[in-house]
Amino acid sequence: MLVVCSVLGDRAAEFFELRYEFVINALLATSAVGLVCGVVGTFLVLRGLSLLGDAAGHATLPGVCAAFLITGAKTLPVLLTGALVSSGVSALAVTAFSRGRRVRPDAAIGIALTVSFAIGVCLLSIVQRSPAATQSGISDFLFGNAAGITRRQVVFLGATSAAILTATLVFHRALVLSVFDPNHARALGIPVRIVEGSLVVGMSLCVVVGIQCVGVVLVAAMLIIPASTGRLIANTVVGVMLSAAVVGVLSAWGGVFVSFLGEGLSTGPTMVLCAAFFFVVALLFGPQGGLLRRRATEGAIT
Amino acid sequence: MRSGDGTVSDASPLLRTEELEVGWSRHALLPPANVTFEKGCFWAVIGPNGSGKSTFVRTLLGLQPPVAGRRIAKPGLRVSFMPQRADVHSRVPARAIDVVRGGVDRHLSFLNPLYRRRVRSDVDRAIESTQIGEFKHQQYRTLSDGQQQRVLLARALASNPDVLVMDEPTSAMDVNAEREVLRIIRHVVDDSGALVIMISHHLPVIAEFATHGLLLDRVHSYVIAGPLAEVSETPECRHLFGSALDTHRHTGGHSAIAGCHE
Repeated sequence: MLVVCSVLGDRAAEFFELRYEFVINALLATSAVGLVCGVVGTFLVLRGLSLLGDAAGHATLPGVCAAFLITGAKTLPVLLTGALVSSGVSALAVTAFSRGRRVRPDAAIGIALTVSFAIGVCLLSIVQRSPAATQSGISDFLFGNAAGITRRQVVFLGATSAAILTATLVFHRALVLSVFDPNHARALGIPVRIVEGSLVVGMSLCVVVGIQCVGVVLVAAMLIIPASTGRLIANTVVGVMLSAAVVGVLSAWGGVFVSFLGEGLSTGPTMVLCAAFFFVVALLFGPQGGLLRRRATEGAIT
Repeated sequence: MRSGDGTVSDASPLLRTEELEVGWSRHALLPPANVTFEKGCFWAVIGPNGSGKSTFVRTLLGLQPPVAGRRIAKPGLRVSFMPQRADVHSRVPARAIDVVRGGVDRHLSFLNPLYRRRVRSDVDRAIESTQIGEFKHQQYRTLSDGQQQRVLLARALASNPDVLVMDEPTSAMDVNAEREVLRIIRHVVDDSGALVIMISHHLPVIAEFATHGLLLDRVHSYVIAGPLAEVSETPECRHLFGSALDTHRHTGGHSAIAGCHE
């Protein structure tokens, strides 16, 4: 027991000395993911579209595989472009379908998610039959590989994240109006469809940023959990956004730290579990509707 | 009639419909309507439940496409819409004042970071005229239904609209609160010469405040529009509402409204 503790202590010390380049890269990359997913996820969660992120995440898999099969190249820009196209198409298809009255949004999301993932898994088995597949790293996209992230990837992630954050800053008032009351926003002449379309595209970009660290299966968690946590902490949209960003970044750091301690643990799942931990804490103690808080105030009233 | 109303552009109506047919999925609910909405008028949209009132108003606003015909709005028309309470997504956190501030952005003004500062006095004025100052820092969703409707009214007024469209704006209010709110609206109309289009079921209130009526019925397939006194005389209106629309009518009360020809 003591031995285990001291080994873990040594590992922790190594971590905080930031001795390894791959740790620094992983920290930078996952921070970017936590930040943008928290910010953009806020609007998805408030709009009631949390699962759209899940559909978009799963829909990146066919894009990645198809890009690899078509070009035969395994360079990152090619694969990520494929991911962006397929996740964007599926997310926009969901919004278009559910605008009519025949298909409910939840059903549309369920259909898009499962169908695109089915296509993705089929393509993946074709990819794995090809000789170049073994070191192609395509299966890294399934669960993410934060430890394998290169400095070039970090730069790319940082630039994309900066673009997403800038766009959110510029559009945030229109986003808030469209989310709160789309009919009113439309009557004011605000281009609600364009705003919602941009939100979907922004979300797809977040997903593309996220899959490299967290993987296609779990990336939606980084869109949904920090934003839901922020909702329990703050009572303005901007407040929720800031809390979600902080929770996202803290989950990223926590996830990298835990996966570094337990060698062999994937970073994606540990990030998600850290985010879930923050969510449970906020669920119990959050100032906006935390369970224990509510009981306390109810007790005070009666 | 106020001075300055004689110019050509002012004389053209704010909003009119030309053989407008409204409905869903290319299926018209009502016969074609030709209605002209002038400034300073207070239109009540009336009819039985499910008669197509909301659909008509939503089409008039451009929120949904017409089945046939068209709506012609004066260029640069500033429209405010006050929806039914249930249409607002109250899971979004917002204080009452945030909701009112949300009413001032138009078109692409959200791209200008200083725009909200410039219209701050408009927001303050809307909050004052609707008397929601005492709870402006409370969360919107924790307010009572009547208070929420006042906040939505303040939001609609904050941008100094030319046209104020309301879908049952006072449905959650008691009679006194409703009268109070309609007095506020009438005051705004008198000051700014705005056009008001209101869906309502409360006949006594319509009789007291409205100048014009738009009577719709999907089942019997008619659209009747005109000054309220004339609409209330029609057999269709008599059949639906009896004499409820002319009992409380206080005559002469609308002379103060600028630009509206009864």
